[in-house]
Amino acid sequence: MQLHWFVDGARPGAANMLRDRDLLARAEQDPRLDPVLRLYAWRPPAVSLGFHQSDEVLDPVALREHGFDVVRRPTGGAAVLHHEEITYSVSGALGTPGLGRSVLGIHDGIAAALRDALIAVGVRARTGGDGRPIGFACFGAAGGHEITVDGRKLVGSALRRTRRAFLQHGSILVGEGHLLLPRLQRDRDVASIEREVEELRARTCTLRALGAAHVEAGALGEEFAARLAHGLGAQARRVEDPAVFGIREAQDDLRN
Amino acid sequence: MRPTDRTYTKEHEWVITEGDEYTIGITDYATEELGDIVYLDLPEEGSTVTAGESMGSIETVKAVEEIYAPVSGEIIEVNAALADQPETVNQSPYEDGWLVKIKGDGETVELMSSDDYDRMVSGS
Repeated sequence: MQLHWFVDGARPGAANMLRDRDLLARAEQDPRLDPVLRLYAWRPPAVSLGFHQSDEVLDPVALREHGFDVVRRPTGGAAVLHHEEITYSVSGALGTPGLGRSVLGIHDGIAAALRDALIAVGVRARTGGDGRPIGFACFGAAGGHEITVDGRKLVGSALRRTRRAFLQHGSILVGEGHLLLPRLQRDRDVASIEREVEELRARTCTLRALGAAHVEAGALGEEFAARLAHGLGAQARRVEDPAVFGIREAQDDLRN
Repeated sequence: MRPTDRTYTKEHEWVITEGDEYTIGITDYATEELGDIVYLDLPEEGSTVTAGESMGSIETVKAVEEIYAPVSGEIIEVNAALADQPETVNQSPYEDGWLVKIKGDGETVELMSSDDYDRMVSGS
């Protein structure tokens, strides 16, 4: 087995989620296909809502002023502002060796590989937050399967399982762009916004704060893919043209 | 010991059959594996579902996944209490945490006894 991986550049929210949906559909349609790791960015920056989250909390005026996009993820979890971060997705068949079929098995297997990749680039990451993810912002608390540094959340993750496949999303904080999320919510008074910004700041850390802002998606992807492939008993293979996976550019507005 | 008054599916759902009416829920194995349920997206009353196909989704703090209809037919009742208290499914998967009732048209996925289901999950 091979683990295919690629760096996919920056796209609008709808395009990014379409590509991940296509990767999930690919694994669902033929579970014999090898798993895929995709690393990417968002242009413009976007708020991705968890699959069941309402967008009514968001202030369209504030979003427009910042030039931010909104999209719904196929995965669960809470909202992420993809701004000064690296996003990844891992897709594959349920029962992939090293990950298994269970929710925790998939989360833990991927988190362990990413943790070790971060350690390899000089970040003292560990897995296992002690919070229960609640509220609107994904980075408000770290679950037991997520990656932290000194108890502060560095990577947020979310999963979707279908009958035969899985898609896991992760967001790795590079800078403090995520702290803008409370300012994008409607009907908030200034004091409560500032309080939430400070809570988010206290509960999260970033590659920049850890002296690792220079780590690019390609370099991190190399380490991540090598360790994830090792865990799967596979060979990591970088793919230059992701069109081989049959993924598309965005054609429709997937906001709702 | 799982209830023996119902049948089970390989998608970790249980089915109580009373004539052509079926009450559907998910098993303790599924709830323990999924973790704390925070949201359920269930079909509306009056809608029709097809055996083996998705009829909604379930979200936990860790993941989203599909709920598959074990029988084909019309949704005749939805457990409305779950809208405000989805955690009931974790607390009482076989009683208060039932999901929907379906008036079936006779088509079902493969249903197994509690013993067979026990064997399936202990071997997985």
